[in-house]
Amino acid sequence: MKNKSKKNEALERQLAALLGDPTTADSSEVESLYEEFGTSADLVQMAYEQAAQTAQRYRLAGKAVPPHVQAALAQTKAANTLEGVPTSKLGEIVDWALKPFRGPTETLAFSHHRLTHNSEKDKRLLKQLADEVKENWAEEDEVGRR
Amino acid sequence: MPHISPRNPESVDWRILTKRVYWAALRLVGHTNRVVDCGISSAEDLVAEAMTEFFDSPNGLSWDGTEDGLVRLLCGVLRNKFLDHLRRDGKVHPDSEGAMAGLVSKEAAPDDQAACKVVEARLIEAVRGHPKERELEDFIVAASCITETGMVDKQMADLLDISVNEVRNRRKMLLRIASIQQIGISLVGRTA
Repeated sequence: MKNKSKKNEALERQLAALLGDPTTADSSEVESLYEEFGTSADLVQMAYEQAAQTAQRYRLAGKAVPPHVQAALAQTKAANTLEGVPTSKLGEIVDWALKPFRGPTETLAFSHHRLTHNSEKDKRLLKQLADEVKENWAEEDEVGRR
Repeated sequence: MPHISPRNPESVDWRILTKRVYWAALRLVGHTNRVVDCGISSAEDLVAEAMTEFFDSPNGLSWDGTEDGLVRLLCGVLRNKFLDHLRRDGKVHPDSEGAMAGLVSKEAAPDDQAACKVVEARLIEAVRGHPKERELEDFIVAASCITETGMVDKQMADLLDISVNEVRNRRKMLLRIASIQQIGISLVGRTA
C-alpha cells in the first residue's frame, strides 16, 4: 500500500501545482478561489443541518450523540452575536467590510468605492447619505435608551 | 490544554474547512454549473455526500480529531464518491487502470511518470487557442518539474521566475478551463 501511494507521488505533486492543494493551501488562497468559483449555497449551514439530522436520529434511538457530531453541531451553529468571537474573526469582518465592492452596483453606497473622481454632485450625495445614516443611528440610540 | 483526540476534537474553522472541501470537489468536477453521473451530482452535492458519510459514521470515519485530519478525511471521501459517480456514469470501469483512475484513486495507480505526461499533454491541448496559451503552457510544463511535495507555489514561482500571486492567477485561469473530470473522461473513455 505504501509502495502504491509512493508511486503516485509525482502525479499528486503535479496535480497540486496545477489545480492547487486544498488540504495545505493557506486560507487567503482558499478564500480567493472561493470568491471566484464558490457556490451560493451556505456550506456551513449545510454541515449544521446534516449534523443536526444525524444527532436527532441518535436521540430518537435513545443513543448518545457521537463526539464528532456533537462538536460539529456546536461549531457550525449560526452565531447571532459577536460575543466570544475570536479577534481573528473580528479582523476578517472588518477587512471584508472595508474591501471595495467590485461587482455591478445599483446603490451609491457601494458605487462610491469605485469612484476615481468625486464631482461636487457626488460629494453632496455622499454627504446626504452619510447624514441619513447618522440620523437613523441617532434614532435607534434614542429608542434603545427608552 | 486538553489533549486532542476523536472524543475531544479540536475547534474546527468550518467556514474555511467547507471551502477547502468544496475546492477539492471543484478540482474533480469543474465549475459550479458542471455535473457528473448523468447530471445528478455537482461539486456542491459531492461536498454534501462526503459530509453525510462523515456524520453518519459512528466513529466519524476514524477521524483523529484535528482540523487538518478532517480536511484530508473529507477530501478522501469526496474523491471516492466522485469515482463512484464516474463508474455509475459508465465512464470508468470498476477495474480500470486508466491514468485518471490513478489520479483520483490511489488503489489503481498506473505508472506515475507516464500518467504525468498524459495529463500534461491533455492540458496543453485544452489550453490551445487561449489568449494566454504561452503562459499556461509554461505553467503546465513547470508542474511536472517540481520535486518537493511542500511549498508547491513557491517552487512553481521559482521555476517560472514569477511571483506566487502570478502562480495563483495562472491556476485560476487553468481552473476556468479544465478539471480532472474533463481530462479524465477523455483519457479513460478512450484508453481504458
